[in-house]
Amino acid sequence: MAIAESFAYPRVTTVGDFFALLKPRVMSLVVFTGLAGIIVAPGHVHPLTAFTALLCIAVAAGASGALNMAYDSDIDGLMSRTATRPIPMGHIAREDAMAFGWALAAMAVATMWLYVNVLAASLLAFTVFFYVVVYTLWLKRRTPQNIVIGGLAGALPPAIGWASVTGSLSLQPLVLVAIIFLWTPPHFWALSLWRSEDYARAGIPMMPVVKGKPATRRMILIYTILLAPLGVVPAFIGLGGMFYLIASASMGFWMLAGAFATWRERDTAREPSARRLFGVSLLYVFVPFAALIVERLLHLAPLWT
Amino acid sequence: MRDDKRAAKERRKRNIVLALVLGAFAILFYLMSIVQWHEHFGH
Repeated sequence: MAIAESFAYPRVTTVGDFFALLKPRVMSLVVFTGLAGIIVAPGHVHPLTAFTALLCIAVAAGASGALNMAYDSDIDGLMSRTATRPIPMGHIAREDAMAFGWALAAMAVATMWLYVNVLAASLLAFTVFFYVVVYTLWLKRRTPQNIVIGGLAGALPPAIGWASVTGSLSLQPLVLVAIIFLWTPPHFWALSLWRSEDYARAGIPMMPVVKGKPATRRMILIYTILLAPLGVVPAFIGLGGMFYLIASASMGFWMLAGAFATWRERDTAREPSARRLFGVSLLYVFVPFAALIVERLLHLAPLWT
Repeated sequence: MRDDKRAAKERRKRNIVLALVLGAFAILFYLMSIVQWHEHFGH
């Protein structure tokens, strides 16, 4: 029996239900990395154009979240983490969520095209397509590499932000994209280590379900070893200054320590190291990107230009 | 009866929020049109 069935109760749809469909916590991370892309990009745009670009990124991220919840509503009801979402709870109809999501996505892309530029709009459309079609509809239920490949959608916002200012792309925003791309697997695999029963019940082939927990711990360590040195690269390509270098290097060491502890973890029932690593990984994105933003706002020069 | 009242109240709230959001977007579009006009013809 679906977990949601035990406490679901249909009622009239509220504004809060629509807001919950937007996955506000995921949206905040996407907006933050998109903002970093806008702020560190060379050149100047009118502040209202920058605001519009950021709003479009936020709305498209929310639309992707709503569409993900609509297409995954059958499996969301089977997992304790997602059973209280508005669709499995019976608070909003799947078709309404779908219409809401597609309408928001279309509006965000069209606005970006009209008022920002065509490259930023194309990247935004690609991101929504990749998250909804490639990740949600195709990869998520088929392969343990789902979040590795699907992670590209969540990694693109800095490039969209950059493109909305410059109208082009270069190595610098792609390095920011690569950092989030390599960060995604350890982040979600840490979560899946202590939620593996949930995923198994829903039939989602997450890494611990398909390859086992030891293989997942090894993969977390490998990805973190690749991520930590890449994290400091922005300081050497004219993006980050000393503040960024210190922030990214310390967060890299912290992530490595967490990944190493997760690799050696023996408490496979509670997975305390994986829970800690999940928390640290959230900071790993927030702290260095905040450093980038603060450096630009304080006009601190990058280390190498 | 109480559920009907609650449902009507929620619907009203939804409509107000929708109107506010659409209004905010209309203002944003108007302001962005001015910004674009200035960028193309203002120099």
